[in-house]
Amino acid sequence: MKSEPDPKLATQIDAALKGLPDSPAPSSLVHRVRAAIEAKRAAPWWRRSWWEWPLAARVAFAVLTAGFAAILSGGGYVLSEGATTYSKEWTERLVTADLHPSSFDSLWNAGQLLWAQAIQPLFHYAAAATIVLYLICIGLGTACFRFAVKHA
Amino acid sequence: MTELEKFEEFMKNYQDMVYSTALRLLGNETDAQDIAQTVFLKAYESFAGLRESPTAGGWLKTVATNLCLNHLTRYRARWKMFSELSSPDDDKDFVETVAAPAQSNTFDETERKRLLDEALQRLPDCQRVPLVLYHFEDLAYDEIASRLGASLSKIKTDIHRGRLALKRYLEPVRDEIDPLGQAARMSP
Repeated sequence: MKSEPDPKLATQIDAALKGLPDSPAPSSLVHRVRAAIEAKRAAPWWRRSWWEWPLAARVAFAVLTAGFAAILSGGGYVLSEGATTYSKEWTERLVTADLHPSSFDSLWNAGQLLWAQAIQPLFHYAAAATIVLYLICIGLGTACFRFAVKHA
Repeated sequence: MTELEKFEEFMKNYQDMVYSTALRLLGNETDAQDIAQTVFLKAYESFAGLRESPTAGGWLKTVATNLCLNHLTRYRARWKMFSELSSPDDDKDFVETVAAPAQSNTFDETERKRLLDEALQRLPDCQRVPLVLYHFEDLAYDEIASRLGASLSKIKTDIHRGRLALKRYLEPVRDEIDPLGQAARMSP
């Protein structure tokens, strides 16, 4: 599907662009590629991709990985068993503990007092300051971007 | 002749094409060299199959195009937030950033091609990339929109704007340049 807003211009541009010769690659490109290939060749086998490792190393790695995975999954099972036992113990202790509601009441009252006296009066100012700072960041970011694009 | 020397011969046959593909898509010589290097490193890994293949050129061009688009996508993602805030009229500024062609009858073909190539590279990414994909890679509008993750109408508009910006390099320009050598403002 190639419907054109200006078919004549499209044809002219197409012919002109296709008539452009290739830009010559810099002479350094061949040297760069050769150097990269030689560096890769010179790298020890353990720094290459797994498929390029010697067969014995690949087999050993596969066995080690499988063993490690087995240890991890076994360890996870042991840990999970331990955590279940531990949590059961704590649940039992909490259920049987003699908790005093009055101590929670004092804590609750202190919290309410702190909110009413210290946090609530400043809450709206803090929210407004956050919004203003956010907008300033957006504005500065946009200005920097436009400046950078125009001077690139 | 060693394998590496054979590969260098192969590379010399295709390096201009690969480099040009990257340069046209990226508009930046340093990035184009990096991409061309990566393309040839990948080609070296598949050299056994590519060496005698009649489609080696197509393979290299496809890899170069894909790597360039990946590169541009990464770069674009970094700036997406701010670029989306820029006004649609920002694209028009390009017309003033490219030197107007000399107003002369001795404006020869080679010089015109050089200026056209230079102007193409200086187009904003949003115009140059779809324009190159359309005219050099022969992709359809909807394929370009799909590959660049943009709407079909935006791609058409960007390509059209890009063409308008390049229009004055098509012929020795007489009627679009005013006596002071300033480009006439082109409407999209």
